[in-house]
Amino acid sequence: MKTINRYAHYLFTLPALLLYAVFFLYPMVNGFLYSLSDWDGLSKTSHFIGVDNYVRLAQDDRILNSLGFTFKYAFGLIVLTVVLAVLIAVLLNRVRRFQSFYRTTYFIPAVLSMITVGLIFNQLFSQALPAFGKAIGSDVLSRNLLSNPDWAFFGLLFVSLWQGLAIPTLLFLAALQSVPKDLIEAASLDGATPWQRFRSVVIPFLIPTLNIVVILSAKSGLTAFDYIMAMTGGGPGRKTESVGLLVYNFAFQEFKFSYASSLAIILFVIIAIVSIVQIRSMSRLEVNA
Amino acid sequence: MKNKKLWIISVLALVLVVAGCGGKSSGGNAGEAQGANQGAGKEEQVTIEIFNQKSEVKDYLNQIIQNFETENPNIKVNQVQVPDSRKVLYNRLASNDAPDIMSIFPNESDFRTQAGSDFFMDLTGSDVLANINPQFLEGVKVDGKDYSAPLTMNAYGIFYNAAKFNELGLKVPTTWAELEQTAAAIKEKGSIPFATSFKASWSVGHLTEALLTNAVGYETADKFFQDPAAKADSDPSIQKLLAQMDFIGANSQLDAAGADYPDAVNLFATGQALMLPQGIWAVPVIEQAGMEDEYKMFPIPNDSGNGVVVGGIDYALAISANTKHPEEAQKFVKFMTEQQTAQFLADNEKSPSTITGIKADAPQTEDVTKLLSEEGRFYPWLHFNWKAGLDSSWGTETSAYLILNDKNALLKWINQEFGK
Repeated sequence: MKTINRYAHYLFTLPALLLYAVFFLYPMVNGFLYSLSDWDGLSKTSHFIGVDNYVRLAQDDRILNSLGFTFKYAFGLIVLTVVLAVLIAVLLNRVRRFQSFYRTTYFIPAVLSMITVGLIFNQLFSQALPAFGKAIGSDVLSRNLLSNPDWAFFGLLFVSLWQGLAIPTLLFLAALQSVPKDLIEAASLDGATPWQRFRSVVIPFLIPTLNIVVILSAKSGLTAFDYIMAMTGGGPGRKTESVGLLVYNFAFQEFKFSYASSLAIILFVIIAIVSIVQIRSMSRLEVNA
Repeated sequence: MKNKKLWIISVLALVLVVAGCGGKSSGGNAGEAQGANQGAGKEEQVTIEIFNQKSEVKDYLNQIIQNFETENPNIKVNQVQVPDSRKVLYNRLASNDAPDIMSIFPNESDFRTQAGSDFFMDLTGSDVLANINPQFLEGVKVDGKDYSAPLTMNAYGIFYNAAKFNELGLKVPTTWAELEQTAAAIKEKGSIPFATSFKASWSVGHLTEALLTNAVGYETADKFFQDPAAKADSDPSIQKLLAQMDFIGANSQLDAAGADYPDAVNLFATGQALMLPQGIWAVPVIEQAGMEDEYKMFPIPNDSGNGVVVGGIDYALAISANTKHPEEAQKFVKFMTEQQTAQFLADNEKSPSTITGIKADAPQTEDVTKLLSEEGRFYPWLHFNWKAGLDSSWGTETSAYLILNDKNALLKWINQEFGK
């Protein structure tokens, strides 16, 4: 009887563990094994070729091009998400009238599916914006920005921010409300300016949330796929081919399935490193309340 | 007492999870079991699945299935038609879940690779193919064997707005120089010569393959890709293709770079652009877009004045090698090749038929499709001889050239991917 009690809590983790194993560990191990073969996704047979795929990855121009785009995109997404989400949260926190109306409005994009948002904006970029551009006589705006090599990047970034800001804003809003009122009051009695109050009192309370937000947006930036698939398909040319899309293209368009698996494993390693570095460096700044 | 509860709760939680995971497959089993039960009855009811990859055919296929089921009351045919069907089908094949019958594209390298892996039933010499014109079977053999039943053909050319051509006094161009004059004349009259869609890279891939085949001839073009010694930078074929692409780009609508396939079709159907380089599969889309003017098609012009048509097998069926109902599946495929069915398909879907004695009545495309059976005027798509998947990269790279004008990037890519 006693033994059951002692180990019971392990039993409760079993469902989650099982789900994790079936949907995460098994595919990952399997994917790694595929990455060591030459399977094309079509044949019934494949051969073990060791690390050949990884060697080829290192020499492929498209990988570099795609990593360059992905990092630029992820960086832009992280910085803008944090800055804009904090800004919006601070403003929403100050609103006194129609509070819940504003909060709901800013949250609405989060309940839509990414592909839906991508397709809607695809239409806006290809039909509505050019019509507007023609009306104001702008040459750049009267063409589809998503096919303009200089603007496609910003078009994608804009759409991911439009939708991606909702949840970070909500998280920051919650964090702002956890800042003790008495601390702020004390600071203002000591003569701190509003900016000093924000910097020295509010921000330390935002750090744990900031941590989460940076990790979440780094992850969504590095694995960007849905919007790109729906809006540019990686184009013009290969200008917006993110690593996530490249994995998909290798596997399902070009029939290099195991090559795609090895790229996916590399992507996993990159995200793991980024997350570890990020958690380590940020946790030092947290407030120990 | 308490411990017992604990056990029960955790076991229940586990059961829930497992039940959730198995939901889908158990549903499938239930369906199969039902089928088996019916089979055990007097009627010997059998259900087969046909996986259809061409949405254009869906409604006609349902009609055909109805006719088939009336004739064969003991066989029920389920049509499955999903978006992104190619990926879905390949995943199902790879995970041993092949449909009984599937529509495939038998010229493509991916099909040939799969056929080499014994995914499909060998139909060589079988009665199923008896009604098909042997000329069309020749091109789709894999290692000398027939794994598919080709039913219709596709062909590529340039649609033109015949009504507007008459109005402007334009003649249908047969040589490349005439095409250039025609385009210039259309531009002068304030219309757009070509409706193109560079954003849909597949459509650029088709266009450029058809251009190249016409510019230098099929044999020369095909040899260029097979010959590792022929470098893209110095090859006259590629130079000619680039010049022709520049011409098409310069005479397309302003925002061709941002246009998708439906945008190009729309531009043509609304009479803003007078020519649309596209395959005959665009006819239903043009009709849907509300085309009111009379429109026809001409083969892509070349220097000789005898433009050739590029095309391949369009609709074709294959039977899974592991189907549980091989006889019924064969019966259905055979039904698809019968005169009555093929005529029905030709009358409605309008693609040229591969069945002996069947003619599709499609005045819009007949100037191009009549060349399919003419010696030396019809050639297969170049990419049928390429590695699986290269056709889509070719489309991406050529559309990139049309948008970004980076000639060296395209040449470098060709050299690299074709092992030059």
